[in-house]
Amino acid sequence: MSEQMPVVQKRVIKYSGLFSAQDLYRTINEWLKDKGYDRREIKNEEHVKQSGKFIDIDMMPFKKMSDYAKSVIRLQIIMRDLKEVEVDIDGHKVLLNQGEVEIIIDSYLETDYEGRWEQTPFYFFMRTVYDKFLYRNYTQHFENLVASDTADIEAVIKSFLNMYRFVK
Amino acid sequence: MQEIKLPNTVLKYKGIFDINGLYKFMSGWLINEGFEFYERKYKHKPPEIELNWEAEKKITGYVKYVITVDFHFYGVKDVEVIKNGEKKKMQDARVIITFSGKVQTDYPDDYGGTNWDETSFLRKMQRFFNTYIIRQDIDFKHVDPLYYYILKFYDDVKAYLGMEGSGSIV
Repeated sequence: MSEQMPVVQKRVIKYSGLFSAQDLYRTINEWLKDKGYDRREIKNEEHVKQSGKFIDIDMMPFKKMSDYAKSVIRLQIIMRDLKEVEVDIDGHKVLLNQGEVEIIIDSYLETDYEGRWEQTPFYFFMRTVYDKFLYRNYTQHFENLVASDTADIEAVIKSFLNMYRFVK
Repeated sequence: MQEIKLPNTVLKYKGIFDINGLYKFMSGWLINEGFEFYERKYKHKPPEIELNWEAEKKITGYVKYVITVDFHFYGVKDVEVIKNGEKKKMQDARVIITFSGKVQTDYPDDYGGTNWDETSFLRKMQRFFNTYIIRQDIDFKHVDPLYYYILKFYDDVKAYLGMEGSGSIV
């Protein structure tokens, strides 16, 4: 198994009010495409209830930064009591959703993702030495890239939700 | 024969939808994309339905794509809804659909025979061939496209069910 080093843990974004769930999903996917991430959706769950929809999306997009290191961002999107409402914006009727959304972001730096340095205990030992001492600067550089991507997606989601804060 | 398996993707939905329509949409999608489609399992035990599909597409004489779709419907109840002014019979149910895929190399021919499986030397040759000679071809020309193929299928199913987490740009 490859080694996963946590870079950012449990960054939580909470929002309650009007927003467009489909646009939020699209915005995240567009960001992933722009940044060269491969999409990976582990789960997409939707329950239609009387109080509104419950949605649970678990995404784990990744980007190979080299043959050895991979950036992995985990996004858990939970929406509760999501209802469709019609809003009047500048004289135009627009369909939006009203409800609660919670997004939990974690990110990891995954090294030796092909598991090539785990075939013998000696290789495993060598990999640890390599990661901690010889390749330390590069590992640090990759970690910074993962942290910067995580901060970027967080800012994109926050600014997307902020757009709806003043819609009435 | 060697296989490269892709990670599973799970879709869960609870609400009112048309099971027959979903069945037709998904089978039609696979057939339109040129897959040979087999229903390996059909278990109807109300209120539960279990299905297993396997769709195959021969890409070259050496490489074949296989998409497996597992359905599990729970608590299926028939309901009558009015959609666009028309009465329609639909189902109130919970469904879990698991999508998985694999790329097969040196797949069996129509008679079940494979070219590289006859002796242990040929099997070793095949491993060498796949690992060192055509590895990049398999990764970039087959594994990645199949992965995005499955993702597109998954996105289309979500859009059919009218799920909010749909509308991808892949």
